[in-house]
Amino acid sequence: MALIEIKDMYKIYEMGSEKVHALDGINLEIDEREFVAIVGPSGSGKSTLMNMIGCLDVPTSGKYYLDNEDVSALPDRRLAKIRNSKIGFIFQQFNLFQKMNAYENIERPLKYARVSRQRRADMTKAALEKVGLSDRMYHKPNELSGGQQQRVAIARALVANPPVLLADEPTGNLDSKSSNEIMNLIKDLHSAGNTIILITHEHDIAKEADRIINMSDGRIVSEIRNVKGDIVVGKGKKYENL
Amino acid sequence: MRIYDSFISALKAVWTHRMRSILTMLGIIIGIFAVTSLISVGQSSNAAITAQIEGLGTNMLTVSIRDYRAKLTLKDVEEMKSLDGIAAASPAITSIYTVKNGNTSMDSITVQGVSPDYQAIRGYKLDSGRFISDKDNSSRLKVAVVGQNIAVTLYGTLDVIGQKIAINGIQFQIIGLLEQQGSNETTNQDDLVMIPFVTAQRVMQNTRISTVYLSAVSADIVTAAQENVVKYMQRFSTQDNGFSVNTQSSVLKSLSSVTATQTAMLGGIAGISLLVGGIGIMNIMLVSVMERTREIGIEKAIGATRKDILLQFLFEAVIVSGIGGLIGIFLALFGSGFVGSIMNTAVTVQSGVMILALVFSLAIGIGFGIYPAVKASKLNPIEALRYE
Repeated sequence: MALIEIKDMYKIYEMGSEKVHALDGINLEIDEREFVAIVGPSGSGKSTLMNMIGCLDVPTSGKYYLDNEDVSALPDRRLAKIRNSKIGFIFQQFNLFQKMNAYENIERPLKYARVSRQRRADMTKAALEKVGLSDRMYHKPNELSGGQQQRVAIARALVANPPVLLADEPTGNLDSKSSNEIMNLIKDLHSAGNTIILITHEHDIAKEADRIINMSDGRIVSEIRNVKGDIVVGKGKKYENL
Repeated sequence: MRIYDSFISALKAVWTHRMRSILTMLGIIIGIFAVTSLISVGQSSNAAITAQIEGLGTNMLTVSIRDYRAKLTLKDVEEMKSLDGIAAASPAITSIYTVKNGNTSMDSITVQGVSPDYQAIRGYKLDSGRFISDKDNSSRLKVAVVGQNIAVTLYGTLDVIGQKIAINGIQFQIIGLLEQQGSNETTNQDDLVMIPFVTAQRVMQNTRISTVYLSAVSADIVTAAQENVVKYMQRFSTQDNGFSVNTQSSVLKSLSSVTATQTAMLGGIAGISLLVGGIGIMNIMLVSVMERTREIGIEKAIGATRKDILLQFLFEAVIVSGIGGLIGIFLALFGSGFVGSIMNTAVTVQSGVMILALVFSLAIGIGFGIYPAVKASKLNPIEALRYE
């Protein structure tokens, strides 16, 4: 079974008398160790889909299996636990805790997981090592560059070894040099065996993924397998034409 | 999150916003300080009064006759002495007069007409001279026993035996001077003038006996003696509330209920400031939840449950109110000593009051912190993450 399996997922908001279909019948499977990019214009439903995959929201109807567990209708308490252990969030705004230093930021999810103090220290240091910021441990976010802040955020996302890393426009707030660094880091994490789901509207960024899912009006309109980032095949279209 | 980690996390948040925390705390500090010190002052003055009343002798009984048809004579009072358990009896009649020595005068002085037993019943000690005797009574002599304040104010000396004193314009001769006694709950004995009962009936133009003081043989049998007196008195009045026989302990009881009410009132008024302090906590916590909306969203995204968020904010409120409470109690310990020195009584803060104050301040933290905490815990993570 796939790591992520979404079946007939709908998310419907009622705006007055009108019903808005933010997700309009999504079927999607993502396997372990895949690197998937979800692209689409704003309002296409990619953020809603990301919230669903990240267990921040529950669908109006449909099923969502994450790591062989039906998570489409769980109470808040269970969802919090799943977010903690199965998902690593990487945000456009970094979303670090401003009052905490890099170490404390990365350690935070482990506290929610009730990991012992000694193990927390080991895991946090290992994560810092992975993103190459061991020498910035005690710096607060405002003492770090944008690229460094995003590295801290990535370290926080992967510290508990979740099966899924969910990145929402991770380079949206960065200059091109830092963007490259972050994308290289994400590619490295992918080669190291992490499953990565990337939400973006930048085609250059999406091109790095193995598989590109194009969304529009709450539906998946096309899906492309990207071979070696070079030749784009899928449903008979070239990626450049999307 | 573990409770310990939640607590540390809350402690750090309080420390991060320390200026705000201290200002919020101030409300609780003032409230707890006011409640603790006022209750302590009330309790201490109550204890002081109780000690004074007990010092007057616990075997005294007082008969008050309200029924006008009850005709009690001096002979009846004599007879009461032979009741089981009764050692002494004295009628008493009281009026307020101006007393004079020449041109020096004192207004509103309590003048009491009593018989010789009264000295033993009240435990009065004489500085010089003698107390009223049976002969003074039977001969209706115009003699008086005075308190020290009277002597000093009217004569400028304590050597007053044989001096003349005018009571309501009638000349009396001073035969005795009371020892300095300080004040008790009813009269200032240093300002007291006592004259023979029969003489007083004349001067006050009142032959009715409405008050009789008695003393029991010992403190243990006061209650039994009281019953005997009640039984004896029933022959004079069968009316409900026609008379009452009180012991010191019943006086004490009603008095301490009065002071307890006073203490509760003081505490209640001070409690209002505590309430205001609590509202301050709620106010600041609501602002804090608002400010940290995005932070709460992040916490939820990385795995915080509702309970984690609730505990975090509740702990913050309780830490502020708890520390405020401790400081308030600490200040009350010093402050009540200061108040005591002004009021000239020893004020002690009882440990029970301290514990109560601490529990109360923690309860305020929970009571006023719960609403903001619940509000924080119920934030939708998606909306919270989008919050600017």
